[in-house]
Amino acid sequence: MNSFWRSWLALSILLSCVGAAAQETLPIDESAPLILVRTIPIPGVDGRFDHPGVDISGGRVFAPVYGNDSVEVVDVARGRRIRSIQEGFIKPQMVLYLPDLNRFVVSNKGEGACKIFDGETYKLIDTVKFSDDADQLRYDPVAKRVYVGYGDGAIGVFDAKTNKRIEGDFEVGAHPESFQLEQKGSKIFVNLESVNQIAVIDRNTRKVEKWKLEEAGTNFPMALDEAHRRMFVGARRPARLLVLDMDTGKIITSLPGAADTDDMSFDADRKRIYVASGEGFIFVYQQIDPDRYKRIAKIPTAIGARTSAYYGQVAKHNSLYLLVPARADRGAELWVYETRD
Amino acid sequence: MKAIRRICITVTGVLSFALCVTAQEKAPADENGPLILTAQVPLPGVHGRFDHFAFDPAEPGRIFISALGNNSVEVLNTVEGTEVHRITGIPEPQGIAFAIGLNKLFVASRKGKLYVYDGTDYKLITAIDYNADVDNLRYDVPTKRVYVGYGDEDKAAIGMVDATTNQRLDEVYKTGAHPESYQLEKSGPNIYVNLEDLKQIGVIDRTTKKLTKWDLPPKFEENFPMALDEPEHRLFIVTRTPPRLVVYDTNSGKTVATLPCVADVDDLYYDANHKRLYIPGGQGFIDVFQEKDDDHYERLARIRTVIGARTAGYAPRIGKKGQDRVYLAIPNTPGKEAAVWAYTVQE
Repeated sequence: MNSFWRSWLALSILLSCVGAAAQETLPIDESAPLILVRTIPIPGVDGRFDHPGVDISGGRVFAPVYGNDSVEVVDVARGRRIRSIQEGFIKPQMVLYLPDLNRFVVSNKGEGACKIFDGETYKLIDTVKFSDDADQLRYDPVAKRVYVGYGDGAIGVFDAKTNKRIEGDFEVGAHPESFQLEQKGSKIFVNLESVNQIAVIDRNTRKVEKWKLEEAGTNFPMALDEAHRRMFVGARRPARLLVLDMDTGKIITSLPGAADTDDMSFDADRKRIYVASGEGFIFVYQQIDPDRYKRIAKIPTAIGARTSAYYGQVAKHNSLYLLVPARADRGAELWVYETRD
Repeated sequence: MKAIRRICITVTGVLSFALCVTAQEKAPADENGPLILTAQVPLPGVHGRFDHFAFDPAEPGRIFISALGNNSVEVLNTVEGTEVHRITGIPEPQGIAFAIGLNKLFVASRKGKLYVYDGTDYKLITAIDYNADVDNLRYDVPTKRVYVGYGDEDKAAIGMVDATTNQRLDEVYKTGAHPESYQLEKSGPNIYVNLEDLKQIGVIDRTTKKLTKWDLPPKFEENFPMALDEPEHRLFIVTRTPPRLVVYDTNSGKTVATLPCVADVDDLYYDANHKRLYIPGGQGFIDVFQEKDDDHYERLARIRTVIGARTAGYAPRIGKKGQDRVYLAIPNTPGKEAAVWAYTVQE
């Protein structure tokens, strides 16, 4: 190829790039399942976020900042951060809001501490200690028990009224990542990402079964569709969305997934799965029927935004909350997406 | 070779020209658009989201904005492009109404009170207790009454305050669910009110006190804003799920048109001079609809704004003075102060 052809080719490529750039500024896709409607600044916060908690009736989002040893409280109705809590946190990993008690629990990687706060005064009420690395939290509002994934690894339990540990942790043999409590049954499903397994605990018989993931592992987030007996798991290596039968552990289907993912939610009203990814996207999958799924959108967000929460209607909005860490050119924020049918 | 080269150069030229033209056509600044951005007034130090607007018809350019997240009301002079006063210490202000003639400002707080301020020195005159979420306000000039939407469920009602004496009237119109935006008929007895919790529109007859309810179309919900074209008997509402402009015939209570619009909508204005609707949405657009006739509407423009800018005010020209304007509240973002943008309405 002579120099003339080379330059013509280069020019053509350049021109098509201009075309592509123009395309990005086109009006937003009218059929997008999520629409960014608000960005709420969280000033003065550096470092990465971890798993948020949501107060549905009070319209508050509690954002633990792993890299900042703080918990940031955002009032979504007022559209602003209302409090920054520093109460001796060491790498806080999750906030769980207890609606019936108006309290919230903050788990810490350091010292395995779960700190319990009053939701009204934000005062520290108590601390429940686990051996190490207290991570994900779940609440059983009927039994008023808080489940804590910790160490290497087990699921521990404490009484939400007395803040006392209940004896008999469920040993799972590796650090528990996301886990889900079955609501209409006695099971607990636990992602064990370091061994590419899912532990299935029966809370009544205390039996622990393990399902080995063959196709993809490094499985961090998890969500359940109990009505259809389906479990959704986000695998990082390779990046796949796995759909399992909750009762047998059989893989129903698997789809290309999100890399660097940490949170996922199932929207039972729209039959959709939202997966936040640190590569800067939210992946949205549509459940066509319990056995068939389709990725319907890959929504650009911001690099590093891999933790999110969806709780249905909060403060008169159907919102997905995405925590966006501070970047080179912009401070930390909470992004609020509205779901669309 | 030379011929091929000439052709290639021509092709490249045509291609680049075509692309430039296309890009230009897609540029947001449309010179023939119905709204032109003509001023940006900064509001330094204001954090959080904004709620409703009010205007002083006696002094065009003076506007009042509830800064809900900032617990303040911002008073702006948009002729000079400056902030003239900030009323602080109002917990979560929502609705706002200016009583012309009496020069008083009424501000509704989500935390349960209606605050009354002097329109000259902005000093607090009194605060009226409701012990409920006080939300939308409307000022009725002939009766010198401020209508107050407040409360939830059993307590939910539209009440009235005598703007001269600052006293609550005993008479209230129970709505059965929190009244969102509502409109007072000028030539009739009706109040139209969005009852978002019920997925309905309430019609209150102020003479008989009877409450009639109209359903939203099936599967439509979250109806917050409302506007009224009284001469043509048309009522406009916007639902958030799905995002739609819905037009009702107020004589029959039936819908006459349903159109897709911007998402996350909290305000809606009818411009009687141009027969247009202005709909700002948190999605980052103002949708402008043109009324072709009573039953036909079309989207005239979609104007790109800022994500999160979902509340606005519309102030029509008074007589020959001033200009028709739409004011849009822009909440602060990291590194950028809050502001009010003023759009001038084009013919």
